[in-house]
Amino acid sequence: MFELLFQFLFFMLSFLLVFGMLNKLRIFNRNLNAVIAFVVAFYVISASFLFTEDVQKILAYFGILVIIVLGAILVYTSSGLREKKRK
Amino acid sequence: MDVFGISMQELIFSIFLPFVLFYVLFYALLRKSKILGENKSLDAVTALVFSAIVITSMYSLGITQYLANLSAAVAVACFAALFIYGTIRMTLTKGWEYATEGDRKRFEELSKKGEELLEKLSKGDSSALPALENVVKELELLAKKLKKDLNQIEWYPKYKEYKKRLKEGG
Repeated sequence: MFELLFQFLFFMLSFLLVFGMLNKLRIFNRNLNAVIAFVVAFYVISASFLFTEDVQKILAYFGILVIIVLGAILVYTSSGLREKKRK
Repeated sequence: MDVFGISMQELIFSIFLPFVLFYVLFYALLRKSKILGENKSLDAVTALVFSAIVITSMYSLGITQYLANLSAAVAVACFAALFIYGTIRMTLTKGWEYATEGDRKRFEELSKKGEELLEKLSKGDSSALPALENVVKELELLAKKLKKDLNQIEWYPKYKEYKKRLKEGG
């Protein structure tokens, strides 16, 4: 079940990222952007069996990294170093 | 109680709460960086999908069961780092401003010594002046540290008056 969910989420992520980028670039109109993003997302999902495991590993360790970075930011802001730098 | 074969506790602490944390973080990051433009809903959906992908990846690799422990360890490490940093910073910046019992004793000693020296000076012994000036200098520093008013010492205003007269050439 999680495999299927992962594939779906991966498709959605690819679609949203490409759609967002195309919207920002404003090369085509909105509808065309959606179609292009849809097609690209399908290409990504069709090739995803090649890198699913690697992506899963990278994302999992990325999650851990996020928690550690959050802790570091917490320490940085609470220590008053940020205010000092602003002054 | 199990949901999809996952215990309720695991579902809340290892999946739902990290999911919410990642969602909020990614959403804030996307809003702040404006990578996908000004569209709020696009940012929200992208953050939702990305956080879901991260959590499912973590779950499929079995890392979610260590998340609670990892978060607790990070929180303790943060607290320890802040405590150590704060202690060192306070010691280096404000530490010297705090008065000790030795400073109080030295203040009393110097105020007595100053009184004696001023008495000598008033009797005409001008050799006592440099020593008195040194005493006053040290006393002024200690008074600042101890937050005391030097004018409360009986002989200090007399010394100031004497110095004033000396300056005027009297």
